[in-house]
Amino acid sequence: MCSTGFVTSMKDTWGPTDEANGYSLQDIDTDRPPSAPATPITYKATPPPTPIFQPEVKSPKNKPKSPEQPTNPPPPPSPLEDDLRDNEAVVPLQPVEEIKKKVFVYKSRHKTKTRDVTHNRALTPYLGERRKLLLEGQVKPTDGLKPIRSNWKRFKMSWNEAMYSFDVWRGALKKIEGHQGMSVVSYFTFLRWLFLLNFFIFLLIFWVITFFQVAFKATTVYDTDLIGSDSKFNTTIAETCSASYTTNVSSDALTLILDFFQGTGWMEDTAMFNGFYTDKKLELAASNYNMPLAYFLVTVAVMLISLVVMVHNTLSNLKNTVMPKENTSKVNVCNVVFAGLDFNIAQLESMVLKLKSIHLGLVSELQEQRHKKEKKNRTSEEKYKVYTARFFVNFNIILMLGGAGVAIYYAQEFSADFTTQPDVATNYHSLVILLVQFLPSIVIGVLNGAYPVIFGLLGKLEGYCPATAICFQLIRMVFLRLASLVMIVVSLYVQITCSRDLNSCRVGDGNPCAAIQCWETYVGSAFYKLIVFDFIINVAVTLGVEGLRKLISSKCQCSLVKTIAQSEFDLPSNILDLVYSQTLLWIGIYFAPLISAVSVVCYFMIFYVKYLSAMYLTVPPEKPYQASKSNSFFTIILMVAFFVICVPVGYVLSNLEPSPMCGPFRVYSAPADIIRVQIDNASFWFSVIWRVVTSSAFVATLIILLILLVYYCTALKSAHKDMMNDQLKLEGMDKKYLFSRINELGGTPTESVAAERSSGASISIQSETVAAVGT
Amino acid sequence: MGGSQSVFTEQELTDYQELTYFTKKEILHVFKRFQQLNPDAVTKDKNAKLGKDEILELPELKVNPFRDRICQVFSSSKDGNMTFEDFLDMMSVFSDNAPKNVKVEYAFRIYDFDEDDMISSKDLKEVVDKLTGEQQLPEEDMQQLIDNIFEEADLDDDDSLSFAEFEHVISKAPDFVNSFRIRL
Repeated sequence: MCSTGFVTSMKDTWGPTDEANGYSLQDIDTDRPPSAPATPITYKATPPPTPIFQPEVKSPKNKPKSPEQPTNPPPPPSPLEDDLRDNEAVVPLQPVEEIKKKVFVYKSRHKTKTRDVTHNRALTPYLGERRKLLLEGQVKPTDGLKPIRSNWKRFKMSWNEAMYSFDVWRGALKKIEGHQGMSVVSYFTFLRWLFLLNFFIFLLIFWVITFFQVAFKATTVYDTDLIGSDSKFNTTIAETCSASYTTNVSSDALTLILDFFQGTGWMEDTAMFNGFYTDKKLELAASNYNMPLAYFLVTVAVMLISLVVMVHNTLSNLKNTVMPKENTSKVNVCNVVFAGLDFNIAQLESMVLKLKSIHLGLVSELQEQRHKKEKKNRTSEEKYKVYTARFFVNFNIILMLGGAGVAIYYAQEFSADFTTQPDVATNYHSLVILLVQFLPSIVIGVLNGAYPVIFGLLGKLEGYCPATAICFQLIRMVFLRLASLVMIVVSLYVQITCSRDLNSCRVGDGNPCAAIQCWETYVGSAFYKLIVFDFIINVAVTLGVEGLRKLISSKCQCSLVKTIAQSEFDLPSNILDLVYSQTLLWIGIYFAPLISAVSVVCYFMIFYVKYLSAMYLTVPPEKPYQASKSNSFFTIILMVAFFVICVPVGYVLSNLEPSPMCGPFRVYSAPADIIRVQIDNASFWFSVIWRVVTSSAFVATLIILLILLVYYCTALKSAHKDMMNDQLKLEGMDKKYLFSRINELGGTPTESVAAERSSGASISIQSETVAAVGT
Repeated sequence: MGGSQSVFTEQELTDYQELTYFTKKEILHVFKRFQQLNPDAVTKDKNAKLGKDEILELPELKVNPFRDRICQVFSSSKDGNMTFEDFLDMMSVFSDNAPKNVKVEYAFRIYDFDEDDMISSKDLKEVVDKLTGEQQLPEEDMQQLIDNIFEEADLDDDDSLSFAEFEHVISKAPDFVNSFRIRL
């Protein structure tokens, strides 16, 4: 639609005959198209195109004056009267006192295809009317259900339908949403996602390595596929040490049960741990199955798949959370008022609570605004006080975190030394051994429970506004959990790489190196213990503490005790628990492959325990977490944790010397040697390509290209943002300019002057309009 | 699928599928929920018009502070009574698949209490009153709040929000799609 066409149509449309068309002046309304377009109204993803300037506007001319003119009482005399022609009815939409400026409204009385003549926008018609239009062929189907042309879209739709069956626990989620609101439901969605991910990992591991190991016999010789053609691996040591590997399988029933929870004793000889898997090939019917290679590849595959799925999840969440960093306080107000009410809630008490929390949110937001104004007037003395308080608090917290780290390190070391003493089973009762085995987990559990409370109390001293305070609290809790994980890994590493006084099979003799026969199994059982005990503590605290508080608050009649005793569903610490156990799984997957099965069972049971807690034991959190922000925040935490543990896992796979007594890599000097053997054995071209791809020149070039790509995308993004801001400002300016022109021209009606939807075309038409009107 | 499938012809289901954001299964599920509101009337005539108080028996609507406005906006006879088609339309807009701009349009209509296509300060006052429930905001707080909203959203300084301004400010509100949703 070129501008000349517009100008002509504007000139043609507007004139003394306009009243016959039913146009009148009422109130400047910037978004009103002159009429509903005669083109079909589409109820689809893009809103009905209502171009401002339509040549078809001529059609109203043919209509006689609509008989359905609003029979309003004669309007009160307004300042507008003087500027209007006498034969035009003016019906102000608002009482006169609310019109602050001289503004004109142009209202169409042409009967549009909407239900109400007083509506100026081309509104989406009702379903019944749309159906009539569909049968007449005037409505296009909704976007998602158009006849699917491309194969990709068809594939995507069938994939979505298949994924629909994975939508487990849908009914439970809906109930929780109705009771607790959408922020708590995000925890359960996260839990369900992790459950499905771990289930898939378990299936992968089971079918690739466990099934073959259990179902088939191992061969007895090392062939070239395993050790290469130039035998630089010493296989004799491996064979003698494997023969001398013993596990303590006791016959005492209590010990057997305890061994199940600790991952020691008879458990060491099961498919749960790394040590069970053979380092030779397995005899299948027709060929042989290379177990070390399969084990290595499955570990790498699990990490890669987790990474891909996480990135996909984060990005699809990020799409809905466009977060402008500027003006956050004012954006919050509109967000709360227009988008704060959770329509999902279906129970009265929850809705009452939600409304109360919205009220609180608004009041605190307004208070914060006033507080900020006061803060600007804060004296320098008060500033010093606040700054010293913050320094003191942060210093304390760093000390506390350091203390926690040291405590965990020594707990792990003590536990390892104690339980690997040669005659520990005879000297101490098995329950004592159990306690010491679980000592690191106990220490972590206590720290995780006590520290957030202390952090919260200290955080009150800092004098930040509530949003920042919550942010700091979350970051500190994350640090605590990451610190505990890192300490455990460091402590285990120190034990494993202890290299003094080792015998020929690299087993220590208790002092100074712990007598660990098969260190992979040992590390695996350490992580197994951590996961099991973490689960037990979680369940016990949830049912115990929250159940107790619910009991107190329901029995006690005094309202003060009631409000204190009621426990809220603590969203961040629950989600951090999930992140922690998932990270444990990722580290442990190399050392204990079937830990994935344990994790699946644990998540399944945790879901029902937390469901009980959410529905019956807790109330929705008073300060609602913005679900959108939190969703991406927690997935990002998960990704950060994943990258942090990639380092130790990568190091183990590429550098740490495996134990010669057990495991699929006992002949090698590092698990990655199997890959080197395979590459050496491969064809000439493959090894050439591999050498080129892994050479430092190639990798450096790749890194430089990626950096350039990232830089380009960043530049593009900021350019788009600026362009968008400019467009919006231009729109506002154009509107103001055109209004003023209308006023100047003394009430000459013009067509609607601003685009209802900002789009490139309408902006250009607008600027041409400005030019046209200006001439 | 026997019972409810025979109520609609294949053509009707296809049409509804094309006009809303539901699949055929979901449309039948919505019909089942609609039928539960007044089984006698709906089984006799699937186009029966249910009264507003029957519609408001739906648990998801019953507790919503904007329930009257919702019924008013989606009712084709403008009196709050809804047929199945109105109900389906309403659930389609509130479903997960409806795109954001459709939800924004209907949100605007719901918040526009006096139906003049602008959200004036009077409309905003009513919205905030409904949002705060039993505890009302004091007068100065209300005025400060409304001033904040207009400062943020009102680009042309006419003390009311037009649809474009509303859409613009909602696009910066990240929670909107998640909260403006009812799942049946």
